[in-house]
Amino acid sequence: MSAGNDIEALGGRWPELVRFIMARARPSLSSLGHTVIAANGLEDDAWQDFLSGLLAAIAARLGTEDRLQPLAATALSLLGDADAIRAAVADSVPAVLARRLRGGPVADVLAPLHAGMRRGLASARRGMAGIGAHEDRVWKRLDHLSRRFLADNQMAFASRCEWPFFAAFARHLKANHLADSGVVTGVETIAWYFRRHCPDCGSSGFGVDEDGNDVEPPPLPVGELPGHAQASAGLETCLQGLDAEALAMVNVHFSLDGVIEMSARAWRERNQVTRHRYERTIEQALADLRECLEARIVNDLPPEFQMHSSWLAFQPYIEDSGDPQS
Amino acid sequence: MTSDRLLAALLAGQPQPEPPLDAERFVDDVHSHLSRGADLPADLTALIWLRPDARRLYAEVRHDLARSFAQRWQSRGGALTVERLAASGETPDQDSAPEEIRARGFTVTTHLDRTSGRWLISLVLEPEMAGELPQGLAVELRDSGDLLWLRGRLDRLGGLDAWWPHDGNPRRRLTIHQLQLAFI
Repeated sequence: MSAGNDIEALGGRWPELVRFIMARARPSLSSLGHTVIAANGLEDDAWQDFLSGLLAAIAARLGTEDRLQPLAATALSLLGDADAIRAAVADSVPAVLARRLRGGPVADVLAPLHAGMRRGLASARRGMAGIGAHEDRVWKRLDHLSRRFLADNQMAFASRCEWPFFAAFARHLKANHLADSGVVTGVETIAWYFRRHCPDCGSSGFGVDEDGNDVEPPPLPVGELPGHAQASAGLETCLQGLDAEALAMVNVHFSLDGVIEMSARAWRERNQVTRHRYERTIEQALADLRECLEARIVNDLPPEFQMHSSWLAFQPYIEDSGDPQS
Repeated sequence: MTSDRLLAALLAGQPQPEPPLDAERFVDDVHSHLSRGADLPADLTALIWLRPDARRLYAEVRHDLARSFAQRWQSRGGALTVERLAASGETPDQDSAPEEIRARGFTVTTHLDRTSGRWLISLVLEPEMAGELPQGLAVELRDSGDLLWLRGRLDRLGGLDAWWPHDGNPRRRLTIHQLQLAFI
């Protein structure tokens, strides 16, 4: 099977393939980023070291994990088009250097490198999947025009991968670019191009913003996590294990049910508790409650998962064993 | 639920355990269960409460599924916004009679409970599409002023009801704002 066929055969698993590659690229990308900063650019040796390390990490999965074999094999094919990936990574280097000059957390400084890698993978995919020159040209034009359109309408759209955006962009193209032979104007066609090519629509899994930063969805409210009812019940039991003073403070601090709401300051003054002691007690209570809750969650697992507080209970999701509470 | 604040604080301070999570396998299995409408098995659920990285990946899978569902919803003619029409605007703002605001694929009802003086908000999705919402996904109703009206999981009939969580009158907000439906 040709490399292009590998990609086509994967179908909807493209986001999974990107996650597979990025999970293995992440450590080496950090090293590459530091080398880029030290050398003020992307040098051949650094790129080759990075690529060799990544290929070795992926090849290591071949033959060891049946489930991941197709992904590993396709990933190796995809990385065969390293020029496209290197070009996209190299494009991100000025942004990395600029961020380095501004200062800030390392993760922020290196974020453009990760985004560049994702763009490079998408570019390599386009090359392998046999996308015709016409399709590629149309997408590049749409990509350019849509970024400009989005910048002009920032408040109206959260991303370039939502139906209102497709519809509004189609109207914009009909009004302003009808004579442009490089664009399409049907809303369905536009949606097709974006879903097929735009990183916002899934090639990266979760999108990349205009600065090249990875966009992650916000944390879910705890009430929407699976197993919330059991966790709440477990927490109620754990609360009973706190001593009276700690329990009183937790009740006030988190306005638990059945307690008349009172500010922490009013409670401290009424009970003559210093702020320092109050905060330390809350901190210790949270640590105790967390430990209790985690132990309950593990102990409440059905017998087939019972491994006595060890990560062994979660094989095959955890690659190593140890104590969840450690 | 006030204890949710405490649960959230416990999770926010949870350190990331050392043993690495097999992210691909975790995402693959969570996606597989949710997309076919199945509950997560006990070990996957426990991991979500024990590991920040598992929670983040779970949120990402839900985000992916929600985005796909929203696109399917729209491609089948479902709306994601609705305005209070002039005709329905004739209902007095303090009338306790329920007022329905209809959109393609869903209906929102505002109802003033005279006894408590509170507003009940009901959202009902067309059963055919509501039944296709992947397991675990929630719906959210916000107005265009970014005020949250409702958030939660649909019941078996495709409905969600809650007291309006704000002071003031929701019908008056509808004179200047649209309502926006989102899958999350």
